[in-house]
Amino acid sequence: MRSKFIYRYIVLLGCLVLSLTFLKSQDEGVEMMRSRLSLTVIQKDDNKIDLQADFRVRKERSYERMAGVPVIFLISRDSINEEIGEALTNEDGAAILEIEAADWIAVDTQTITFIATYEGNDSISPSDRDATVMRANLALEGLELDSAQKQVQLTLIGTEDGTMKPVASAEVNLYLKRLFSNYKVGSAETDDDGIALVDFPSDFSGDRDGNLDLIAMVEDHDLFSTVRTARKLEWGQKIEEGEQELPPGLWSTDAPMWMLITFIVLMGTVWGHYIVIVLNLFKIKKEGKILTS
Amino acid sequence: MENRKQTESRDQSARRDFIKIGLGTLAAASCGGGLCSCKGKQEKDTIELLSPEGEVIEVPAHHVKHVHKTVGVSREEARKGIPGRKFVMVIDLGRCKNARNCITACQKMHHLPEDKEWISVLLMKDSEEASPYWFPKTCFHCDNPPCVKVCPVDATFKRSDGLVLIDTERCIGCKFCMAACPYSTRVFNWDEPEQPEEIQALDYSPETSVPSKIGTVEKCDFCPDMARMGKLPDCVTACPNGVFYFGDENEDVVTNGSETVRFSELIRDKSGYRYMEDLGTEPRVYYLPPRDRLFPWERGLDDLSDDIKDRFKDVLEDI
Amino acid sequence: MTISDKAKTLLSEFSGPLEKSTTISKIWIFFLVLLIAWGMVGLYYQVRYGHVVTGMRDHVVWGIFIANFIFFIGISYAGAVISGVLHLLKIEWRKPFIRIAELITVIATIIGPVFILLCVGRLDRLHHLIIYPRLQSPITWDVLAISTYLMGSILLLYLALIRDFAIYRDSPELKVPNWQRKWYRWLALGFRNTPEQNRRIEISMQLLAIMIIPLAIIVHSVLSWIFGMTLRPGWHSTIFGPYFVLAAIYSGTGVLIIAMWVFRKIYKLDEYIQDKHFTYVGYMLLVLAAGYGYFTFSEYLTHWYGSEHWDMEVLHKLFNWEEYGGLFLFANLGGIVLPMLIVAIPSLRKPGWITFGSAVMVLAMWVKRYLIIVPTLETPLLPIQDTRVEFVYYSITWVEWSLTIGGLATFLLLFTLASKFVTIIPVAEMSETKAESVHLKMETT
Ligand code: SF4
Repeated sequence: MRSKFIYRYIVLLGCLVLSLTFLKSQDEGVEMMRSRLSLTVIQKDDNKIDLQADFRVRKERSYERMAGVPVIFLISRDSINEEIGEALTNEDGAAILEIEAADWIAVDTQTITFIATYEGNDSISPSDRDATVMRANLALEGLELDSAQKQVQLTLIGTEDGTMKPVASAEVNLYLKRLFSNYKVGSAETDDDGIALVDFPSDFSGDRDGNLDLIAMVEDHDLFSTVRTARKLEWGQKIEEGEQELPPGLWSTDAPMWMLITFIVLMGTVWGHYIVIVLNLFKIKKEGKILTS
Repeated sequence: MENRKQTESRDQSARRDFIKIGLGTLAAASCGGGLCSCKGKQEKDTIELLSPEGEVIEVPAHHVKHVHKTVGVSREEARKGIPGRKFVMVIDLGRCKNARNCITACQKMHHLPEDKEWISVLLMKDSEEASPYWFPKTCFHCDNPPCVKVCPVDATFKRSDGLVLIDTERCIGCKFCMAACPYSTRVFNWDEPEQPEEIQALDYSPETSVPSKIGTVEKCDFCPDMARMGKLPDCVTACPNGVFYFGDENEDVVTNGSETVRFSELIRDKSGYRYMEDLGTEPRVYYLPPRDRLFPWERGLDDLSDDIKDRFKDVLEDI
Repeated sequence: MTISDKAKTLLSEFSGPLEKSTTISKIWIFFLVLLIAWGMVGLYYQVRYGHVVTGMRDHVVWGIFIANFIFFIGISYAGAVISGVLHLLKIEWRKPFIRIAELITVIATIIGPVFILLCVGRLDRLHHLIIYPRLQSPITWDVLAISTYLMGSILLLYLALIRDFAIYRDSPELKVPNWQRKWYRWLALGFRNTPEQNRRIEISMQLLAIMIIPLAIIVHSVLSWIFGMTLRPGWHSTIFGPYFVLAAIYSGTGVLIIAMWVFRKIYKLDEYIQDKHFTYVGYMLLVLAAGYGYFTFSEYLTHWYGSEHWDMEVLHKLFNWEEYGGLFLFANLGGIVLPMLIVAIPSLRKPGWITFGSAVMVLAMWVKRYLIIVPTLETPLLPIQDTRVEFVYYSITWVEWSLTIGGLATFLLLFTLASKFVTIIPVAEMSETKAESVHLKMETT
């Protein structure tokens, strides 16, 4: 556990070194670099909210991500700003702060505004961005219609008139988590009951137990920003570790049997004869000794 | 409430310190000699460094060493392969314009000198009438690898996740694998590798392929150290045109960083093929034919340094 | 042990080099040592700075070192053929030069592998071949085959020498320093020419003679497979095994002829190595040249007729004057046509001419090995592009030349030194006619 932590620590450190090389070289120039923030509020199904601020800094013609930048998150209620906390951008340039939803927004709240700010320093200009949201929740359920056809049912509810009600006409995307990225399986629009159905192909492989990690998201919604849910379903084909191995070939570490046998027979015969010959030499020597004595 | 905020901010400030360490490390790395400027590194556990803000901060000495992106697994571990994976690459020839970002990213990742490439981009022309196209070439990580077959000491090996790697601490440098590779992928360290001291001091792992060793063979490794962290190889993310797709064939999904597609559909719909399939080497790299080009091939000659342009002199004469 | 009169005369005739060194031979040895020292300088550079000092680069990964390796293993066939085939066939005229042939075998088999070691980037890790062996690799086959072959050749040479050592030991007329005689005594193993001892040597030699032929064939086949097993144009050929074997016997015979001629000149052996011997070996050479020519023709004809893209690329290089045309022509004219003509034309069928033809042929065979290695490596399946310009073509550097010459000098030096320790003519064997051996047996009983 500890070593894992250290490992991560080192990895992050390495990343920082690399990404911050830019910062250093820019620092030598007198010019201020312009920065830009964007803010996404991700409402998760475990009653937590991720505040994600993507930080970009303008270098030459393009905006580039930067790591290690402190971003402060604030909440604005009744035109009073209160600080929630601070996070540093990771190597993808994203500063993420996880908060308990109930602590900051109640269901009956109409809207609430989050603010992300960066204070700037000698070489980078300050920037900020706000996002206004209402509480929403997305639920994911797997439906097995028959053995061949599977569907994912996604239900979106959101605050309306102080209570949670189904949200209609919202586009929901369904993703499958894969090693390097999320694969978009499909998307659908919610109906009046807040339900969207997405067909799910049956030929995806999962992990050793056939589990698939599914993620559903309503993205950049006008009222709810991003609402997200994730769930493991046993819908994938199992990957057996034994099957992994390629059938042995000439490239394998061990030689094929016939080769080993041929080798042993050949070498055994020849070296066996050599031994016989050397023994003969010893006998000659012995005979010589007897003869002289 | 108040309490929580306080602990949080204390947490944050701890992290901020950590960042400073990072910045300091950066300063050490960017002053060229690296460790050279640090005084008394033996006697003291800390090193004084200049941060980008212009303040002098103290950093624990052992942090300065980690100049490589990842920490590789042990040599024994590296022989096994990542369980359940089968890495595969798809290269879309219709998108390549010889931007060569993959090459430089790879060099940076593996700390290679400027003139040593593990990836090369060839200018190919399949027939008299066909128009030329740029052909990025990595190691193909064949499933029937001719190079692995011939290695006398099992220094280069095939893993269960499909990768062909080299243990340069075992390699005797006979170069037989180089002669056996039909794709001229492997490169040899003809002399002492030009790498900074702090890189040479790193622990070697076949997964990071760092540091290089004189008299041994090396090549593109598909960056399994990055894959262990769920990250794409640097050549993939560096390409401005999304030429390289990388992924796990078991998962049947490949991505070039911005698009994520099903591997089987991509190969089926776009007639993906493997280079010189008839050799029977069964590469793990697929190519998509150079159709629907994003750029005319001549664009690939723009912005090339004279040195690099020289390398294509002979082909250009033939075209 | 009593020594027959014939052996006594033979020994007195050939003991010269054993007893004292002439000024010329001293100068010769000094010269060789100088060349070896030069080679050592090259070796120092290569070990110190890595393989950059050679002309080998990422595309042409092997150069003249491998050509030298094949060459030396090739000429080692001299002994295998003479002592193997001719021994089994009981051909009497082989006797005078059997020792020369066996010495060539042993020394060449020692020198050859040195060149393959020079191609290895990490000599400090050679033990990995033993601790992490991989039987599937042709290199492993090579290591095993060559060491087995070397062992066999050494035993064969030694078995033939035992009787001679016994004669040296028991000839008080032989004026050699004490330490040398001690060595003879030790090496003679107490051989007293008893029928039992003779029988043991006879049986052992018979066994080895039988084994050495398949061994020699295996060694060179395995060697050819280093190339044949790869997917490269010009190498990936099924006839490479027999082609290499024949080429090896051929060049081995050529070197044998040269050695016969040289020793005949230096030691005035005209009485023992006669003109007729040159003619006999010359006939062998003719047959081998024809066979070798046939293989060459068949190899290139098939490639050219099939005209696969890659094969043609290599062929174009071989037939192009600006590339390897000249060398290729020399390899074929000098390596096939010239020796055949010399042996075929009666007025040229003289020791001098045959030796001249052999010398040209041996050189041509070296060139041929070079032409097998380098043009193919310069023609990979994927065009050589986007690579450092100096990586495209191979050129031999001074380090490679000095090591090559150093290797050759070592070969000659070992040969010279051996000829100072043992008679170049096998005394015991030569003195043995059938009548005499019966006589000897009676004497001892
Ligand atoms: S050069 Fe190294 S990896 Fe390649 S075959 Fe020889 S020992 Fe194996």
